[in-house]
Amino acid sequence: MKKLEDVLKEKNHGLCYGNRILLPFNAMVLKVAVAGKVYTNFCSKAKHGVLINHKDTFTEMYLLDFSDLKSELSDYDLIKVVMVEDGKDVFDFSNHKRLDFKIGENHMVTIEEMSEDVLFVE
Amino acid sequence: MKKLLLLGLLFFVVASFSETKVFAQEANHAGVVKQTQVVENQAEATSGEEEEGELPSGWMVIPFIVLLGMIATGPLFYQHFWEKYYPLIAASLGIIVVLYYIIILQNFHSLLHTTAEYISFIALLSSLFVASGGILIKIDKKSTPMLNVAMLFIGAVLANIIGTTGASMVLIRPFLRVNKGRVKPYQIIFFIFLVSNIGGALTPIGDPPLFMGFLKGVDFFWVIEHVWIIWLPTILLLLVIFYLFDVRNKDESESSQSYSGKIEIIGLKSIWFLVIILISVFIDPNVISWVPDLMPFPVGIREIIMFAVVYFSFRYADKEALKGNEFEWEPIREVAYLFIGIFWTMVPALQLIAHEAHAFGSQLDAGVFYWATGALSGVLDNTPTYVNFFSAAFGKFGLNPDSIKDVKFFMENHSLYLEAISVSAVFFGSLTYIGNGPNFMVKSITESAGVKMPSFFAYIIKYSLIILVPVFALVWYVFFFGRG
Repeated sequence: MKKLEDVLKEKNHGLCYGNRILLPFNAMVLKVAVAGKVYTNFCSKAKHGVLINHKDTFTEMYLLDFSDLKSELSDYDLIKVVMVEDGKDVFDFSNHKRLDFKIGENHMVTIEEMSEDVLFVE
Repeated sequence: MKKLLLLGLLFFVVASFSETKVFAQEANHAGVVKQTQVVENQAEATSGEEEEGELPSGWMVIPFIVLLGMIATGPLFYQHFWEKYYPLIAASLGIIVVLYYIIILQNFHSLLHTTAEYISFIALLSSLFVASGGILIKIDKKSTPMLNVAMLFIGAVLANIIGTTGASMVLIRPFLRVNKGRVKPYQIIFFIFLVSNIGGALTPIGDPPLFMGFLKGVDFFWVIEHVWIIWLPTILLLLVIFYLFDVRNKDESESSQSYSGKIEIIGLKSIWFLVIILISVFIDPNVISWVPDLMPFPVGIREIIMFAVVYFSFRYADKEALKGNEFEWEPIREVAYLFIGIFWTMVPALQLIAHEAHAFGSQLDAGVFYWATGALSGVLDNTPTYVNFFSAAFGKFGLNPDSIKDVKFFMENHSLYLEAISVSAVFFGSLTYIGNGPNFMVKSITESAGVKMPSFFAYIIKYSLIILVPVFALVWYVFFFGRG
């Protein structure tokens, strides 16, 4: 399984099918903001919100308020996420990674550390 | 979208065939207008009789009520159904009224007039939305209560130049960025109060209701001449209240950060598009005599210019600014769909309200218009509310709101009523998230930035009832109580 640092350094991509995003690392998600909605509750198995599953080699996120992220998000829409890589101290703010995901062509998701220009309040 | 365009085209073709009938009716209206300006009582009788003959059934108000009810409740209680089907719902309800007017009443004039107003309305909003989306302002300064007060005041003034939508789009991100270390929901809510609503009460560009008044013939500078005396103390009072809140916000989690104090504007070329929009507002046959009237087409030169600005301002916008603003079409698409439904469904409501106001006119003073327009502007959209009470006030005096001459007469002789309607439609739009278009946009942008905003009811209970209602009551007491 890849480390988050390596994924960012090597510019590895994730995958997106419909409302499901696959990330090539394991991490705990603290906050997700997308298209005017903020999610901080990931324990629910309701029909709405964000559902997160940790698998052996990847993390999967279901954004249940969407049916097809590629068609429903605009070219300038980012999925903004605060994550802490598995094994790191969640209580240490320096371990909180601010990432943004952009849904691209051929199911690819670019994963980048959020630039200072992107407006995001943790 | 294509289906809606086809329906619009179909409606336009039918309306064009009825041109002769339209002009005949207009001539009839003109005759009525002359009489109203000579002897008011005589005009009341004439206009009243004419309205009686054209009155729609009271049942035809139902599509309007259903649509406004769904706009208010859809995003709250059945969000997913609403997001999927609102274009279809708005268009279908509108078509019911269109068919009723064409088949039953055979009144094409009201529909053509309303469609022309809708096109002007959406041309202005969409052009301001796209042009301002191409401007990104970066302010690298430390957040302080005084800086926030200054930004909100500048935003309130700017709202009169580029509209509350434009000012909200341009300023909400810099406002959030400046307050990144100490952002709290109350700051955003005061932004909605001052920049997205109340600030824009001085010009027809400021807020859509006032633009509707301008389209109906209210002079461009009439608003600022008559409303600034109410606008300024209201803005200052709210800024003082905001300051008292903000000075108690001691959260400075990023206080160790250093600031360059620089203000950077990306996408300056888009400002030229805003200038073109501002100039084009005046390109109207009612304002400049040599401007050609393209009747029976429901668009004018002004609207053609504005739609061209939509295309070119997006095509040539600074990509970095668009990216920084996370530009997307959905907000303006939503407004375009919903308002075609609102404009068409409100035609019977407008006629009936004008008729009722004429019948019960003596009981309605300026204070009643202030509170009634305001209360409905808060929970419905403020643009149709303004148009409804504009018609009602004209009905009270037996005047015709579709006649330019009557509008001029009303401005000169009953300005208190126009002040009450204008001020309350704009001010009270800030009472809820659904009172005015930019309110939801600001909420959405703020939440995209990771800041959780209060729910619909928390906004009303914690902020509107406690802060806004007392301020608006004071405005009423000072400016409208016992007058008119």
